[in-house]
Amino acid sequence: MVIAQDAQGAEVARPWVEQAGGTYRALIDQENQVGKAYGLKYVPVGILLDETGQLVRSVNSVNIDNEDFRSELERWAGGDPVPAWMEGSAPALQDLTPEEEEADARFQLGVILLKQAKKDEAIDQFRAAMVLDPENWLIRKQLWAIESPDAFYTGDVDYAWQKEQVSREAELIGKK
Amino acid sequence: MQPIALTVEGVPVDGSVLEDENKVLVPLDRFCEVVRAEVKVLDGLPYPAVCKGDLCIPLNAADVADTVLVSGKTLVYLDALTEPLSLRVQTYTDRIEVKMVDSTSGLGPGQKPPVITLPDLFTGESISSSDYLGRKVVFYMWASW
Repeated sequence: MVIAQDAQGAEVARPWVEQAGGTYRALIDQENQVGKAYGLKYVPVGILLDETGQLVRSVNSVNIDNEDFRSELERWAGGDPVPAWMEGSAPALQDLTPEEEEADARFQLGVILLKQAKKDEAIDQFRAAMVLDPENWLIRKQLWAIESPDAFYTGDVDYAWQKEQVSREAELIGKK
Repeated sequence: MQPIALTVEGVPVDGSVLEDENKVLVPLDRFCEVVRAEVKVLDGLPYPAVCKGDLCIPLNAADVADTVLVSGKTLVYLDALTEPLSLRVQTYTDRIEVKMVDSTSGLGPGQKPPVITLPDLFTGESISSSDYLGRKVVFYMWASW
C-alpha cells in the first residue's frame, strides 16, 4: 500500500495514484505523522512488515523501479525467506530535538492554514519550519512545491531549480 | 538428530543440532556466552534460568521441556530463547544465522515499529497497520512533489 506525504491534501495526491492505475490501497499522510513518528525526513521510503508486525528490512529508502528489488519483494511476498536486502542503516527512534519539535509545530500550523486557503501565511510557517530543520526534505520540498508549483507540477521535476533553491536558501538558514 | 552450523552475529556456536521436525537445540553454556546472557540457578528452582539484564527466563517451567541432556551436555531449544532474548533466527538449507536485536534502537529488522493509522486517499476510511497482522504488508511512502 502507498502513503502520500502531502501537506496539500488528498486532492493533490489522488490524480497521481489514479494515473498510475494502482490496485493497491492508498493512504494520505497530510500532517507528516509517519515522518514524525519514524524520524524520517525524505521519500521514497519502504516499511516492510511480516505477519507478526515485525520489520523485515530497515526502514529506509527503497527504489521500487529497481527490478532486482521488486523481484526480491515478490519472492518474499510469495513465501520465500526474507532475502538479504540491500539496506542502509536503520534510523533510530528518538525524541525530537527542540528545533525539530518547533519545526513540526509550525508545519502543522502551515497545514491548517493551507486548509483554510491562507496560502501566504502557510508558506511563512513552512519557511520558518524549514529554517529550523533544513535537512528535513519532507518539510522543505513541500514548501518549494507550494511556493513554486511550476518547478514540480509542470512536466518533469526541475532538479536544476532545486539545486539553485538550496543555494538561495543557504543564507536564510545560516542566519537562524 | 544431526549437527547444524549455527552462528550468532557471525560467531559459531559449535555443538548445535537439528532435531526431527526442524527443532534447533543449542548448547546452553556456549550459547549464553555468545548472546551475553548468564545461566543462573534461582532459589528454589530445580532448573537453571537464562538471565540477561533484568530479565530471567526459567527453563523447563510449566512442564515444558526446554532442555535436553545429550552426552552430559545440556542443550536448550532455541525456540525457548528467541522471543525473550529478542533474537532473530534466519534458517537456510545448510546453516542457521541468529541475530541479536537491540529493542531500543529503532527501525531495524525484527523490531515492531510505531503503528501507522491514516485515512484512505479515496474514501477517507481510517486504516491501521495493525489491521494487517497475519499478513505481510509493504508501505511505500511517496510524494507528488
